[in-house]
Amino acid sequence: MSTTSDAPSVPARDPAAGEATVPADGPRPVVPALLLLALGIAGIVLSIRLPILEENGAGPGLWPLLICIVMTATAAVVVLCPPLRVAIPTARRDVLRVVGALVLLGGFAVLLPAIGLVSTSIIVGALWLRLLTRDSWATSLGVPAGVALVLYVIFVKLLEVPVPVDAWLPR
Amino acid sequence: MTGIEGLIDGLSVALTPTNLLLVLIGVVIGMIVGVLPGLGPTATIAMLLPVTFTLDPASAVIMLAGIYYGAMYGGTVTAVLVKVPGEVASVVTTFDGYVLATKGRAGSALGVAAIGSFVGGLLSVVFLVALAQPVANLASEFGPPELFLIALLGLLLVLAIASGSLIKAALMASLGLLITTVGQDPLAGSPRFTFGSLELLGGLDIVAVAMGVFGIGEALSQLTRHDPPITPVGVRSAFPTRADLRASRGPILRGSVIGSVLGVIPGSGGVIPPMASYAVERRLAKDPSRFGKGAIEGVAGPETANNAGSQTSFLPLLTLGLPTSMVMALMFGALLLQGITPGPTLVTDHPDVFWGIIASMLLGNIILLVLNLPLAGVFAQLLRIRPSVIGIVTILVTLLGVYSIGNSVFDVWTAIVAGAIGFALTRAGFELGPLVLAAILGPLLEKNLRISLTMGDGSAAIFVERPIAVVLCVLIVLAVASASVKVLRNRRRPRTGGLQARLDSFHLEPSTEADTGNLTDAHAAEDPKSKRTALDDEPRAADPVQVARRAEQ
Repeated sequence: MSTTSDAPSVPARDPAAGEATVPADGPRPVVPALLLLALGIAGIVLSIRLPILEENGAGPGLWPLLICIVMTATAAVVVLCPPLRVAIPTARRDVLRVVGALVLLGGFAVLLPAIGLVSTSIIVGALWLRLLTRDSWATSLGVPAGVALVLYVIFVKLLEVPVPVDAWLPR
Repeated sequence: MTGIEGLIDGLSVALTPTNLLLVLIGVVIGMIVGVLPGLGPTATIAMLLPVTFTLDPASAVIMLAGIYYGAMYGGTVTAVLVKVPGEVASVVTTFDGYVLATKGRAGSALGVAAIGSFVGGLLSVVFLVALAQPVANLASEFGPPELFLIALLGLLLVLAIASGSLIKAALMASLGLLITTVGQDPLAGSPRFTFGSLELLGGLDIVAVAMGVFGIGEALSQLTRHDPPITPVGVRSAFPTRADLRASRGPILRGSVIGSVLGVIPGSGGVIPPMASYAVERRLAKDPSRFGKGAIEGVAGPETANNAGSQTSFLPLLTLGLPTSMVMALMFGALLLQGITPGPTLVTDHPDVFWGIIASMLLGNIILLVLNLPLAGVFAQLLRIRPSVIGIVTILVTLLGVYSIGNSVFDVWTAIVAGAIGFALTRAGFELGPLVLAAILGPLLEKNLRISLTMGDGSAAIFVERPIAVVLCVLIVLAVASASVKVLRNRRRPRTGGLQARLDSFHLEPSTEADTGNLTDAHAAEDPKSKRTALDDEPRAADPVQVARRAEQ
């Protein structure tokens, strides 16, 4: 977790140390807070459409309304107070790595019900290790295969959890 | 039922072959997780929640509890051998433990830590047994207004003691609460924020969110870190000398008390008990200047407090239904998944669960002592595992575990989106702990709030008409006031780092560079090609709490 401060002046720190820095005013660090602010406002609007109070107590809209008011207020403070808008700088190649990772994770979600646990794990794991973390082919294939087989034994054979199993494996 | 009778009953639950095996599995996994950088007990427990579906409630929490306090033992190994705390609670151990390792006394440090943790674990069980029934009796007077207030108090205390920005922690907590409102209204059953989607009508599975945030989020963070391989200092086994044991007696006993008492405070997490113990030992030492230069007391006391606190933190959860930390929130979730709501009625409705968990801690600590003393060196070799391998294992276990919750691809997508958002929020400087804690408490808060208002015919006066509720309201006001003071104080002076702030709060002045400066792996990121050994570090200012929290989350 980053170390942040509400103090108006915080010295910039070494980003390689993984600590937060206070950037010069820029749009990027404020985007998450703005999105949360928008979410809070949208939540207030949607909550008001639900019954807030009913004759014998609170309606379904009261609790989300209270939450969204707090969310909007705190998000507004974060947007408006520069020292709170800190971010850990991320190199472009790391951003691309994360995007690639998310694509692979989406691929897992699509492939798992289609081709089963072991094949999906090997494909996704191999691509992850080879393309994202630049491991050797031996590691990229061996580790996912080993993990997949262990998961198969634990989840399918021992715990009898109904997960999709490859056609070539016994259930 | 008295505490002793309960403990005996609990032992009959814990000593079954299945539960003994689960204790063993839990503590071994916990040790491994505690040693490995980048994977903390929180993420591991989140990932293994689906596995607990197939277990009965007592067995499920026994295993998960074993992971938690096993990780306390494991985190010590890296703290001593590599000066990288395996989890946050071991930060303080790096001060003196690592120096001892550089002097060839790693075995003593690890041995004293293991013995201290064992004694602290045992004495904390005595503390639990003594207090569990009286607290549960008090909590049996709780109704919906008190249950709402105590859950709110727990959430506010966690925010008040959060190490990062309070405003941002509150924002994350509100996001976590909002997540739980998607789906069906818990009382009337009417759809809320579903936008016509059948999947959303079932709500966003909190377990999937937690697993995504911690499991997938950690794996994504690992992709952006460039830590060099770690070569631990060689150590075969961990047997301290007689002189070390004599010197550690007092710190271990004091650490047991300090940890047991502070562990029940919401928000103290794993950090405050060992830090308080370190401050006490330093104050009591005849020669405080030894601290930071390899004082065995600086390892014995904090490690004892660390483990004692990790176990007594179960007390508010089991008796009041109040999770005091992220890990306890996940334990809360694990019991909810089993159809059990932790709280005042747990000891009467499910005594096997209640006492079984407490009794299993006795066994778990025995197993950990037996494993640690001869095998510390073996566990240390786990540090050679590449972070990329840890990452892919985390990913595959998380994704399959999420799917197995409800055989739903929607849950997998929920976890992926939660992981992506969690990663982005972390980079933007937000803490995710309050988000998940609030998400787990959300349904409890809403349900009890609305029932309370119904009891009061729509009036909030019910929260100040009942004596216990009034006391809780006062505590809430104090928590808010404390948080406000913290924000105002931070505005007046800049903090120089999480650890320094903690040391300041205990009036500790670092007398040596080792106290604050000689704690790092951060500089390694600047030179990814360097192969760093435990003896290569140069003093460089860094925030070890950050390093450990990165490992934790």
